[in-house]
Amino acid sequence: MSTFSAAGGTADRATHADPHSGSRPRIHPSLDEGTRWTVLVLLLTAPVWGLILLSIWQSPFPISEAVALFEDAAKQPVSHFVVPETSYYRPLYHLLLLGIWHGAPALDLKLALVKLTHMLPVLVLVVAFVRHLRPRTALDAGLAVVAVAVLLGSPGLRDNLELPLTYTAVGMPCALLVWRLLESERRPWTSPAILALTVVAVGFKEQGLVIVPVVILAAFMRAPGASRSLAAITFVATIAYLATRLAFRAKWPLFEQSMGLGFGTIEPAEAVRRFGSFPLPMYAYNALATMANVLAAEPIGGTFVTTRDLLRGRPLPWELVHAVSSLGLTAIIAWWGTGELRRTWREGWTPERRAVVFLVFAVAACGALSFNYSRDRLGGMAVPFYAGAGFLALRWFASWAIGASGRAWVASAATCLLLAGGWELRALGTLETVRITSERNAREWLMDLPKRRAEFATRPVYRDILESMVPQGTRAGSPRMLRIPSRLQRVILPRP
Amino acid sequence: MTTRPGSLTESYARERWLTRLLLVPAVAAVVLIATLGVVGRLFPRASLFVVAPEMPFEQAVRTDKDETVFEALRAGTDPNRPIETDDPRLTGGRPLRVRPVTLAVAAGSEHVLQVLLGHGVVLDAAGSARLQCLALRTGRPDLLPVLALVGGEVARDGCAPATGRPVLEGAEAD
Repeated sequence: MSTFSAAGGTADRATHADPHSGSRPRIHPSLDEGTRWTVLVLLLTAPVWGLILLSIWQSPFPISEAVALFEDAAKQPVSHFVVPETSYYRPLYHLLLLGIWHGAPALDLKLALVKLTHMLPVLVLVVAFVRHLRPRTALDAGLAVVAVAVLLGSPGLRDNLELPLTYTAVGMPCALLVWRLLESERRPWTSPAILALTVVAVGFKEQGLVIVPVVILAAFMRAPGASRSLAAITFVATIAYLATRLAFRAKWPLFEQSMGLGFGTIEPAEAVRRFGSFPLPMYAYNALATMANVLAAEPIGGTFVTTRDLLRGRPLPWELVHAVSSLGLTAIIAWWGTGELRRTWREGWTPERRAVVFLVFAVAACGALSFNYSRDRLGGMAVPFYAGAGFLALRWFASWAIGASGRAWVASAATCLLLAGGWELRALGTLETVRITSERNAREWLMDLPKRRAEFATRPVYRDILESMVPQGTRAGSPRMLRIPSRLQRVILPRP
Repeated sequence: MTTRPGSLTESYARERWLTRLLLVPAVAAVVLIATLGVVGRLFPRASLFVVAPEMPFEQAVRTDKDETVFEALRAGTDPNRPIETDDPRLTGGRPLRVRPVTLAVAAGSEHVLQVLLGHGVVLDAAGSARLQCLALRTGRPDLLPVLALVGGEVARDGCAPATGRPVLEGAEAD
C-alpha cells in the first residue's frame, strides 16, 4: 500500500512553472515497482542504520544510569511504577524492564533482551518509514534515501539511542504506524490498533501524547483510517489521563532539570529564583526551543550554540551543516506545505495535505510537552512526521526543478545535492554519536567502578547487579569512534 | 542529442540527473563505511583506529593522566606488568621496576589508580595493605578507601614509618 501515491505526490511531477499548479501523468507510472524500489532504498541506507543497530548491540550499558534502573526492576513492586505520582511517568517501560529482569534466567539474556527492546523499535521505524514512502520510481528512491538520512540524522532520533533509555525510541515507530493506519483503508482492527499504539507510546514516555492530536485531526481531515468515534475515545481517554496526572502535580518541582536560555544555561534553583513567581515565560521559551530544534537544529537544549559561535565568527563545520540542512529542508517544506494547504479549500484533503497538518501539530505538541526543559530528544516524536513531510516536499521541489528554466534548474539541483549531502553527513554523525556513547560507557566502567563500589556498598542489590555487569562493561572490542582526521570529524560529529 | 527545454526528453534527462545527485552522498557514505570496514579488518592497528599515545605509559601513570592510561589499557597494555621509572622524587633518580598500581599510589595518581583497579589489576589483601601503607607514607590517606575495597582497611599503626628514603625503594618487597 502506498500512502502518498494515490493523490498528488508523484502524480504532480510535471514540467510546469507554477510549483503549486496542476498535475500531469507520472513519468514512470509502474505500480509494480514499489517493492523493488523499497528494497533498494533499504539496502542503500542499510550500512548506516545497520551499523547504528550493530553499535547499539555491541555497546556496553552505562554504569551511571543502567545499574540503578535495573536495581529498581529487581527490587521494586509493580505498584511502584504504576502510581503516577512522580513528574516522570513511564510505567510500560519500567514494567518491561521488570518483566525482563524477573523473566529471563541469565544476566546475559536479560541484557540482550533490554538491548533488543531498543534496537527493534529503531529497525521497525526505518523499515516502516520506507514502506510508508513506498518509492515507485528511481527519483522517488533517491528522495526516499534522503528522507531516511533526515530520519537518522535528526537530533530527535540521535538523542534517543542511548542504552537503556528506550522511552521515545518506542514512541517514534508507534507514531509512524499510527500515521500509516490513519492513511490506510479502515478495517475492524484499525481503531483498536491505533489506540493500542497510542497507549504503548504514552506508557513508555508521555511524549507519546503527540499522537493524540494526530488521531483527532485525522478524523476531521477525513483520513481513511480515522473515525469520529476513534477521535472521541482518544480525546476522552486523554482528558482522563491528564486529569489523573495533574492530580499529583503538587509533588512536582517547578523546574526539573537545567535548561538552556539564550547563549547559556541555568540550573533549576536559578530558574526558580528568576521565574518562580511566574514560570510561563520560561515554559514558553522551552516549548519554542524544542520546536525550533526540530525545524532548524537550533537552539540545542535551549541554548543558541550555533548562533553564538556565528556571532563570535567561529562557527564549527558541523554547526553549519546542521543549520543549512535543517533550514533548507524546513524552507522547502514550508513552501510546499503552504501551497498544499491553500489548495485544500478548493480540492479537499489528500494524504499530502494531512501530512502538513500532522507535522505542524506534532511539532507543536512536542514543544508543549517539553515546557519544563528543552532537549533534542524531546522532539523525537515529531521526527517521523518531519522526515515524511520532507520526502513529500522534496518530491514536489524536484518536480518543480525538472520543469524550471536553466538557471533555476541548476540552482535547485545544487540545492538538492546540498541537502542530500548535509543530511547524509548528519546520519553519519548519528552513527558516530552512538559509537562515542559506547566509548564513554566503556570508559565509565573502567574509571568509575571503584568509586561506585564504595558509594553503593550499603545497597546489596545494586552492588550485585554492578558486579555482574562488570564483564560486559570492561570487555574489549566495544564500538568506538573512528579516529578520522579532526577536520573531517568536526564536520560529521555534533558536540553540543 | 539536442533537446527542447520543457520537452519530455529533457524532463527524463533532468530526472535522471536529479536522481544521481540525490544518491551521490548516500553512495559516498556506503563507500566510506565499506572502505573503513575493510581497512579496519586488514589493519586494526592503523592510526585511523588506534590513538597514538600522548606520552609513555609510565609518565601517564605518574602524572595522573587517566585518559592516556585508559587508552593504553584499551590498546592491550598489561596493567600488572612492572614498568620502569626513575622519577627523582620517587626513586631518587635510580631506575626501578614497579607495578603500575604501586607507581600510581606513590605518585598520588588518584584517577589512574581508579582506572587500574577497574581494569583487572591483580591485588590481594597483603598487596592492598602494602599499598595503603605506601599511601600513608606519601601523605595520601584519601586513597585508602579505594584500596581498602580489597582486603579491608589496614591498621595505621601496622605500617612502617617513613624512613627518609625514596618512597618506591623497597615498596614492593614482602
